[in-house]
Amino acid sequence: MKRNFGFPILAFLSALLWISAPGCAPLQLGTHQSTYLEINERLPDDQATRAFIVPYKEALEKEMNTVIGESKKELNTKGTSESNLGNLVADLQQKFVERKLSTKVDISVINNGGLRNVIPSGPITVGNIYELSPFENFIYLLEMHVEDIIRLANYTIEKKNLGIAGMYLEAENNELVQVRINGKPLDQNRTYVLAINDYLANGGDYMDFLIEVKRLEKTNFLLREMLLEEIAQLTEKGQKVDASIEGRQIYR
Amino acid sequence: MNRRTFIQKSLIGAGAITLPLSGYAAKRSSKLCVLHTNDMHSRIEPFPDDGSAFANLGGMARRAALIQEIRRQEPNLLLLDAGDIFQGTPYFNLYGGELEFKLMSQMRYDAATLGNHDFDNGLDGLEEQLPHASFPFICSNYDFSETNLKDRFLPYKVFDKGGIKVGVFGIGIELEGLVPAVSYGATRYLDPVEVADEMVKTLLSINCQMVICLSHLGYSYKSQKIDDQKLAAKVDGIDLIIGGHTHTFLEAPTRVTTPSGGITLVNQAGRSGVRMGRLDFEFDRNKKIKKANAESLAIK
Repeated sequence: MKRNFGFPILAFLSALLWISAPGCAPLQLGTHQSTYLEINERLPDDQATRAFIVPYKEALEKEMNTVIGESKKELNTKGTSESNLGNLVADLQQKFVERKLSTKVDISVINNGGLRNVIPSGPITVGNIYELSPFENFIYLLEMHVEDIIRLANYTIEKKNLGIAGMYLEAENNELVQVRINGKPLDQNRTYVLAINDYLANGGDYMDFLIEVKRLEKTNFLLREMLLEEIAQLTEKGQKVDASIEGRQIYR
Repeated sequence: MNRRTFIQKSLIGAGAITLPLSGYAAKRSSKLCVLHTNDMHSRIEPFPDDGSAFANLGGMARRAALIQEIRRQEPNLLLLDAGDIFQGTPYFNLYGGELEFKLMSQMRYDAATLGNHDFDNGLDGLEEQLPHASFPFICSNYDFSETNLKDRFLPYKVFDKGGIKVGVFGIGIELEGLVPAVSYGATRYLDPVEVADEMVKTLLSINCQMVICLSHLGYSYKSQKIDDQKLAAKVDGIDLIIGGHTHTFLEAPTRVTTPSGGITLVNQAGRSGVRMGRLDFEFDRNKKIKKANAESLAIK
């Protein structure tokens, strides 16, 4: 900056500016040192903080231990793609969406890999459902054309990682031989509603073919909330949670 | 007026009254300690001791003890968070972020910015928890004017730490595609580079000696997507970017060269309160005054 500072008045004005705002002393970033501090067991707890957390923790544990239903048997993801737990979750997801959005769901899908724990035999707690579905996955509804259904079927046969409701699959030597939706063959003249979580809809687990499929609804219903609500519904009706491998996906 | 001109001009003025100023300067400390966290994701308690990668790390009671200890040694301390306070443990699902905000308030956080997950319970869910935070949220590039959170956040804040004026602004990530539309509602995302540029100008015009950007953009993407390093390389005048979102564990801050050849430090402290970043800055007052003298002499 070229300025004529020969005029004493300018220097004086600058000085005045300086004096009138002492907090604004022009300091420049000098040296710095940086480090990171690991928060580990060598650090003691701050006792006041600890004490503040305790009632929250206790109420949380109480909530997590709340029993919301009962399972007839242990439900898990064992099986060739189709599993009792996968069937259960796919069924509940279908029922939930149909009730919440008053809309027909033709196919409901869940990735076995997203089911992170079993549902134990006997009482089911809120904590069990958190362990089963710890992720923040939302339920999406997609508009599937026949070609999309075929891709979904071929994907399932290749990966063998989905629990499915509404769609029947038959494969021989890993080749698709039959697909039925609600017991009927595919109809070129219509589209089908798929309920699926946002992780898969956005191409997770290599389901890239779903990225471009039309979204009918991007709900903010969490998979976990769906499970908690549906299991509570069953309990209200006096029913136990149960599901079986029933031949929805046949691999020969 | 850019920062350099401003400094020169003021220093030249200072040269005229060297003596009273050095007396004034000597009274104040010229050190600033910046502590920072990001992506704490509702990790109230340490990770369980189960042999996993973060086993027995983190924990807010431990962090509180550490901060208290540092406060005893550092009178000029700035404690900041770069967002995603919410979501990750049942504490969030059950209490909606209340405990996170209360504990951060007790630790005397100076400010935080919003991460995408802080929208997880929607604008209403966030609004509900705001009374539990005694620290401000600084968000410069989200426009909440059409939402219920209008005027609830600051575009920037100036902290006076022992006579050092530190200007802090906050840059959030694009919400579309990352947060369900119903959750962020009519919140508008504004261009980070434009807003950061404007913020730096504003903060320098009100004579901040240091400019910090709290960012939830993410450390680095291979794509064109804006990140902390790209922001630093495009905007002059930011001394430090405290980042988040990508859960990046940096051993040391990254030095990024700004358009005019300056240096911006970019730092991030992993996630879940497993680490806390610490940067200590020294402001060399006497040297600058001396330099100013020399410069003003040269002009004569």
